Amino acid sequence: MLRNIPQTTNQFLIKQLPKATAFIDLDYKIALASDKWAEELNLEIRNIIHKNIHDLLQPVSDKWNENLRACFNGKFPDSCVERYLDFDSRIKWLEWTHIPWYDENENIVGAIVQTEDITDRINREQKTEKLEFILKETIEIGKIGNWEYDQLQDKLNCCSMVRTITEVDDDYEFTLDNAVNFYKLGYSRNTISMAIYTAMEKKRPWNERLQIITAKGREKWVNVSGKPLYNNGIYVGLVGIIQDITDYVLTEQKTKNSEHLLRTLINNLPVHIYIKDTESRKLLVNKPELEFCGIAHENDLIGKDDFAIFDKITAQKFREEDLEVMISQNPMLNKEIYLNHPDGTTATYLSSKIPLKGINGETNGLVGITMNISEMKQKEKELRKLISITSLQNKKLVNFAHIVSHNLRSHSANFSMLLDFLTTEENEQERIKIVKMLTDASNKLMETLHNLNEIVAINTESTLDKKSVNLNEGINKVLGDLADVLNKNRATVITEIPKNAQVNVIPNYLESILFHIVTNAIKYKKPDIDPIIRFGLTYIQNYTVLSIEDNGLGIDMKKFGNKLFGMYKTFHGNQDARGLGLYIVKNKIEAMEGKINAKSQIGVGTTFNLYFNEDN
Amino acid sequence: MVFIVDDDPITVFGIKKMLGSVADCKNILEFPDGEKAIEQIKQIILKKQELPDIIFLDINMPIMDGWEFLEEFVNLPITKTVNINIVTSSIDQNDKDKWENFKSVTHHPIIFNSKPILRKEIEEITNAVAS
Repeated sequence: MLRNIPQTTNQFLIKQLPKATAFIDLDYKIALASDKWAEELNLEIRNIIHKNIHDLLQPVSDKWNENLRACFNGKFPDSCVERYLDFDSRIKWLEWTHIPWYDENENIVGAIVQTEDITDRINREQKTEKLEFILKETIEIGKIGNWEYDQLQDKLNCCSMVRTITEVDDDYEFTLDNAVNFYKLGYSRNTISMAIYTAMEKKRPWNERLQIITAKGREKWVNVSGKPLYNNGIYVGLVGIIQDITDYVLTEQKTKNSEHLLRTLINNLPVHIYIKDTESRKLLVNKPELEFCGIAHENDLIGKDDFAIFDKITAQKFREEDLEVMISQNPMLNKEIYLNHPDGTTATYLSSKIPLKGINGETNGLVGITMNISEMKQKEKELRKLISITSLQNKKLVNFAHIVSHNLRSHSANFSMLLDFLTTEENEQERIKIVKMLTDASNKLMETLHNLNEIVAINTESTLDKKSVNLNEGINKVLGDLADVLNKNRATVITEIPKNAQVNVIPNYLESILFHIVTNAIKYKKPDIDPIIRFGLTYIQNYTVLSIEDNGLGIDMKKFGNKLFGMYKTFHGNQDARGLGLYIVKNKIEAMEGKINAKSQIGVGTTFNLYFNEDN
Repeated sequence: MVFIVDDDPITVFGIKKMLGSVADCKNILEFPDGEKAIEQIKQIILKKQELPDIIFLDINMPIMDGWEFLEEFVNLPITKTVNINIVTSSIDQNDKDKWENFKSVTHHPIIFNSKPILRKEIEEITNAVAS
């Protein structure tokens, strides 16, 4: 029994044990303990003897107690590792070993408890475990394999990931040569050969992005790096890693391709495209938009708002549009806008703004599409003009056809009637009368045909070149031709036209028009008043306007205004009026792209205004 | 009484000649345009004299054409039935439409004849009036 052991000697020996050891009797009391034990458990050595172990220690596990009781029963339980919180609240990992305590008679008198602080070991183990896990995951997820080349044995050791990447069987034996042959012929193989050579000769590490062909014939992109290993300055081999980056490269290429496609597309679309942020600053622009803004380099436009490009009023207008679109989240579609360019031209655009929404439905900015439709507008205008000309021509043509058919029918009807009379008429006097009428009718038909021919000529030869003619000279020539008539009627002509006034006309037409109007003024003079003819000149828009005023009979414009320039219309009951003169005048001035109108009052006189087109 | 409103002397001559051969018409008045004819008719109404039985009317005339004449004529307060004979060389559908239109707004019978006018037609016209 313990009591039989010389207490002091035992106590002294045990106190000095290098391992933390305590002797616990069957009453759970500490019989003896090494100083190390007290120290390990952070206890005061003097106060522990004969104290109950459970009072001394922080709570221990059931397993611990089981082990202790097992010792009391003569068993040797396995050591147990326990997380232990000491009195200073420090976490420790302790390994407890319980063994039975026998006296010299081999009776169990208690248990010997050894305690070892294995906190450091546990921490290291955990750290290693963590590192191993991280490494494993990194290799798996990153598809990174490592390899090592031992020059002495000429052996290339590769991890399993290298086998996965190169798609070789587990028993495949790598050598430096066959490893190099995995690289794609050309750039990749040349680069890796060069890198290995430089590493061996010049101690230089490498890191390259290359292509390999796997054992199964698949093409892969890898990132391969390596560095030479030295032992006491002597080259002994290489170490490195190889990473499968095929997915990454392909994704990158795909992204690049997509971006290239997008760029090519938006740069070559015939519309301006831009993306703006919520502050209306441009984030992306295509080429046409750059040109539209008059800026050479994209970088000079990115990040700028409209105030940096347009005048303040325009920019403010655009900003308000942007805000409206971004706040309402309703797109603005095909709004017609007009812009004055610095070079003085005005252009019409169709502008659309579409809000850009984020994943959560918030507005991130907008996409803008602008299209220059000036040309279309111009074409539309031209088309309208053409349609109006065509419909006018068509109207003229129908009118003309109608008149021609009517005229010719009327003559032929007369012929047929007169001939019918002639065949049955027996009275000689009457026969002579009918024959005379036939002759008259024939002459009239000839004249009609001549007139119609003249009108057709005007309408078909309208492409004749116009010339600049001095207006005074033109008028004087006509007045000269009519001198006899004017003198005979004691007519006064007043010409109030600047000496150098020029008009763009077909000279023959000008003369014939003036001839008709002056002749009319004489023909329809008041019987008892000498005629006065007054020429005047004004300019209205693109027209030079020649007015010819007389003091003649005048025409009832209410009645005849709309027929004045019609064919075969006469207004004064004058016997030699052919009703054709003004129709021809109108056709001639229209052939020169001008126009004519008249003002008149019965008993006062008539004024004709000739509009000469000065365009071109 | 017969009015001939036509600016073409040959047509006037023809109508007169045919009238002379088919009927005994002493009273034939000629007018070179619609205005002169309508003035005469207004005078007749004012003076309460005898209105014509037949009017031969040309369409294309200076100053006042046939349609303008009709426009005024159908609005005049005339209770007598006046036979209007349009004599024209026109074969224009527009003119035919106008004729149809005038027919529907007046109690005066209106006939549309295309030139050349035939003796047979003049006969029918005068016979119709006589009966």
